[in-house]
Amino acid sequence: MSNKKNLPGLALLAVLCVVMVAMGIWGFALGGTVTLSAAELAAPTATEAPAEEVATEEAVVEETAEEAAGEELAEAAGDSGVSLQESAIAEHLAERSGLQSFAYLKRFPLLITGVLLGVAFVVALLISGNKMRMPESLLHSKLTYAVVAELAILMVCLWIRPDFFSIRYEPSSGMLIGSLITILNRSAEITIIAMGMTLVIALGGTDISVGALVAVSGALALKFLRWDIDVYTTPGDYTVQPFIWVLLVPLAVCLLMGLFNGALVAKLSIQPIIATLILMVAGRGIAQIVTDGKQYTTGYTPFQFIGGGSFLGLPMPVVISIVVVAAVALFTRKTAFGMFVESVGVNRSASRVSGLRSDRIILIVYMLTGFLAGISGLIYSSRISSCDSNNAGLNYEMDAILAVVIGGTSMSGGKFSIAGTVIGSIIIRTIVTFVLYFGITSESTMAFKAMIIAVVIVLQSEPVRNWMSKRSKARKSTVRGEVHA
Amino acid sequence: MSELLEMRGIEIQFPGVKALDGVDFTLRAGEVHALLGENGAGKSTLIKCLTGVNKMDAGEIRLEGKPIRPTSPQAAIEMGISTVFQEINLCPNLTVAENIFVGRQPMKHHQINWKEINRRANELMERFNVHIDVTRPLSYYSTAIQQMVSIARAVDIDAKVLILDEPTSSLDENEVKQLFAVMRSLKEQGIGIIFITHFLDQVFEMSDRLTILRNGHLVGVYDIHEITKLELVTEMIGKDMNEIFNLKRATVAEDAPIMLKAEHLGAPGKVDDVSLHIKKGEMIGFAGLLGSGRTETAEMIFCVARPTKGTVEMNGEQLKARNPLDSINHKMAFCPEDRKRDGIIGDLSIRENIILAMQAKRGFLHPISRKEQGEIADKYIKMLSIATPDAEKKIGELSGGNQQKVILARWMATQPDLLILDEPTRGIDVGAKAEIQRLMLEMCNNGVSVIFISSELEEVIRCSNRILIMRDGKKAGELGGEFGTNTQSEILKIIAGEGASA
Repeated sequence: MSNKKNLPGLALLAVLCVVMVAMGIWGFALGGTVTLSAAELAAPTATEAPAEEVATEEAVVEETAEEAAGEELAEAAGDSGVSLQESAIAEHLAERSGLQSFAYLKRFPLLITGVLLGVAFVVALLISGNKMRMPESLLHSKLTYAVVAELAILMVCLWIRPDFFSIRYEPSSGMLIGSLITILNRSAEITIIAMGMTLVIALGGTDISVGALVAVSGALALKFLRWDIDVYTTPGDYTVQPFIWVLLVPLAVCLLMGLFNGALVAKLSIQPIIATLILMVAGRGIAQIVTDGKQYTTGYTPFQFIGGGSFLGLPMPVVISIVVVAAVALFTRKTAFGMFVESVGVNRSASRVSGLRSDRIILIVYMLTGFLAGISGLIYSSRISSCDSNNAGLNYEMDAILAVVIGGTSMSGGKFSIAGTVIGSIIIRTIVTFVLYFGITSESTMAFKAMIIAVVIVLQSEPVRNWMSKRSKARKSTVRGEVHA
Repeated sequence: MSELLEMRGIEIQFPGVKALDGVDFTLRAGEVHALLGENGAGKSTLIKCLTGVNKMDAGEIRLEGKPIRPTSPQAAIEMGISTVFQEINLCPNLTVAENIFVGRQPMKHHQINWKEINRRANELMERFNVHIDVTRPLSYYSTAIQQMVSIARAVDIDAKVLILDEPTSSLDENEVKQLFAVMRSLKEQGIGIIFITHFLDQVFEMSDRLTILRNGHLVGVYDIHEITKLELVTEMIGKDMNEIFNLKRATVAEDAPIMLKAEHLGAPGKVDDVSLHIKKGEMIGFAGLLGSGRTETAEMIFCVARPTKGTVEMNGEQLKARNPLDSINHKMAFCPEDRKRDGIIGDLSIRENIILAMQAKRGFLHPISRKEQGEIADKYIKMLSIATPDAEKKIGELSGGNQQKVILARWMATQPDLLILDEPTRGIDVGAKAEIQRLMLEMCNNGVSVIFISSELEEVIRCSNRILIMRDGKKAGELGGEFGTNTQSEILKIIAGEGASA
C-alpha cells in the first residue's frame, strides 16, 4: 500500500499472521498426535475414560464426518437460523473436546504462550510511550487498535478453547478445518461487500442497498437454475438455463443497480443514504417478484461448489474473498484510482477543478459495490442452496459499514484502508464465534456482540487515541526540549 | 488614554518550539492597533492566547486593570473580547439574522421572538450600511457580506476589545471603505480594535499604533507616524525589501504568437460578451470589483463554469469537451480564488496535492510511480521554498501562504502554457506574496502566459503587461503599454464608470 501511515499497522498485521500460522501449525501437529497416539495419551487420564480407549479411533472418524455434516447443515440453514445452528456446532465441538479432554494437558503450554504473547503485546502498547519509543503514528493509527482488539478476542477464544488455533486437513472433503478457517469462511460475504463499501465511504457516502442486492442476486441465480418451477418440480443436480447465465445475469443486474445508485448520487446529487435507501427497500421486493414469492432450492453441484467447495484446501468463499481483496487493492493502489477516490471524498469541488472526472469516479465506485454485493449474493445462496428474499443479506450493509469503520476509514470520507477493512470484517466474525464459544444463548448474541463492538469503537475513538499518542508525544518533546536547551 | 488591555511577558511553548517569547502588547480604549508580522511570527498565537484557545506558560493579561485568564473563547467573549476570524465562522445554512443571534435569541413566552430577531438584525446591518434581506440564508450572499455579518455579530455582543483577523482579505475596495467606516464608529464608542492584516496600506489608513512581531519575539511598538512603509516591511521580515519592490515586468515580443483567444464569452447574469487574447509570455491583469465578472470570466475560460456562448481557442485549437480536464489537456492551469473550497484537498499529503492535476491529465490507469511522485514533490517544495518538514505532511496543516504555493506547484507540474491565477496572493504575508509574484514573472519569461486576478490594484499594475477592467460582467476597458503613477486612478475611474479607454 502506498500509504506510509499504514505501515506500522501492516507490520502488526504481519506479526499477527505469523503468530496465527505458527500456532496453527503447532495445533495441527498436536491434532495429528492426538489422533494417532490417542491410546498412548489416554493412559495418564485412564480414570477419566477407561472405556474410550477402544472407542477413540472410531470416534475420531465419526466425529470428522459429523463435523463436516454439521458445517453443511449450518450453511444450508442460512443466516435465519445461523446462531442456532452455530451454537449446535459449538456444542458439538465442545462435546468433541470433552472427548479428548486429555489433550488439554499437552496444549497447555500453547495456551500460556498465546496468552502471554497477547498480554505482552497489549502491555507493550500501553506503556510504549517511554519504554519502547513506539512511533507516534502507530499509537494514533486506528488499525493498531483494530489489530489489538482482534488479538485480544482471539486470545480469549484460545483461553476458552485451547485448540482454537488448530487447523486440520480433512482428506475426505479436501478442506482445511479449524475455527480460524471457519471465521475466514463465514466472513467472506461481508469482506467482499466491505471492499466496495470502503470506497463508497472514502467518497463520503454510504451504500445501504447492498444487503438487498445480495437477495436480488441470489433470487436471480436460483430463478435461472430452476426456470419454470411448475415443470421442474423437484430440486436436483441440474440447471435449466446455462450455468454461465446463472452467474452472469445476477452480477450484471447488481452492477446496473449500482449504476442506478451512482447516477442518483453523482448526477442528481442526492444524498447517498437516501439514494441507496430506494434499492434497499425495493431490492427485496424485486427479489420476491423474481421468484414469485417462492423459495427455490437447488441441488446443482457446480453452483453449490461456490459456497461449499474448496480450492487448495481453502473453502471457496475464502478463495473468492482473497481474490476480490487482492483485485480491489491492486486496482486502487497500483493505479491512481485510490488517490482519486480519496481526493473526491475530501473535496469534490477542488478535485473537479484539478481535472478529476468526479462523476465518473462516483459511478465506478457504486457500480463496483453493486457488483461485489452480487458476488456475495451468489456465495450466500450457494451456501444455503436456496434463495431467501427476506433474510438473504439481512443487515449486511450495517456489518459492512462497521467493518470499514473499525478498519479506520472515516465516515466523513477521505483516506481509506483496505487492510483495515479486512481486519474489521474478521473482527466482526470473530466476535460472533467468540460469543458462540462463550456459551451465550442465541437470544442475547446480538447484545453481547454490540458490547464487544462498543469496546472496540471506544478504544479507537479520537480522544482515546489522542490520549495515548499525547502521552508518548509529551515525553518525547520534553526529551527534545532538553536537547534543544 | 488609559490602557484597556495589557499583556505582559507572554510566553507560549509548543512541543519543540517557543511560539511566543516574552511578548508585550497593550491596547487603549478607542484605538485601532495593528498587529503585524509574517506568517508564523506569532500573531495568531497571541490572539489565541487572548481568546483562551491556547494556554500561556508565563505572563499576565489585564483587562481594564483587572487580571484575567480566559480559558475558552466563550469565556473571552463574556469578558468582552470578541474575535472575527479570517475564515468565516458562521453557519451558511442559517439566515443572516439567525447567524447574528444564534445562542442568545431574544425570547417571548418561552419561544424565539423571530420578529425581534429580524428587526434587530436588520437595524444592525443598516448601521453597517449593508442593505440586505436578513431572512435569507447566509450562503446566499457573497463572502464580503458574510464577513460583515460576522463582524456585526461580534460587535453586537457588547465587546470592549474587538479582534479583526484579516477582515479585509476577501473584500473589494468599496466594501473595505464600508468596513473602515464601521471601524471608525466603533472606535468612537470606545472599543479597542486589534487589527491584523497583510495590507500595509490599510494599516497606514486605519491604525493609530502598530506592534510588530517576528519569530515569536516583539520587534517594536510604533506610533503610526513614526514609521514608513519600507521600514515597517524591513522590520517585519528582518531583511531588506528592495529586491522585492524591484520586480521587472515580463517583456513580450511584438510578434509573439497568440496563446489564448476567447471570443464573446457569456453566461446569463454573470458575464456578458467578453473577448480577450493573450500572447505567449504575456501577463494580463484583471481588475474590477468583486462580482464584476473577473472570476467568472476566468472560470469560463478554464470551464469550471460552462459559458452559454462564445468560444475558447488555445494554441489555435478550439476547446470542445468543455470541462476542466479538457482545459488541462490543452495546457491550461487554474488557481481558484477560494483556496479552501476549490484548491486544497485538505486530508491528502503535499505530495498527493502536487501531483493531482498531473495524474488527472494522465488518467488513473497510468499512475505516476511513487518514487517519481516524491521527486516531483521534493523538487517543487525546494523550488517554491514551501515550509514543511517533508512531502508527506497533510496540506491542511500548512499555513495559507504555503498552501497557495502547493496549489501553484500542482499547476506548474502540469507544465502549462496558460496559467490563470485568481487572487493568488490573498491572505498571505508580504514575503510569500513577493515570492509568488516573482514566480509568476519568471514563468512569463519562460514563455508561459498568465492571467492574474487580484483585488490589489497595486500588484496588478506592478506585474501585468496589459490590464483588463471589468464592470458589471462586461469588459469596461483595457490598458496597455507603460503604466505611470496615474494608472491606478485611471483604472478606478473606469471601474466607477466615469471613463473608458480601449
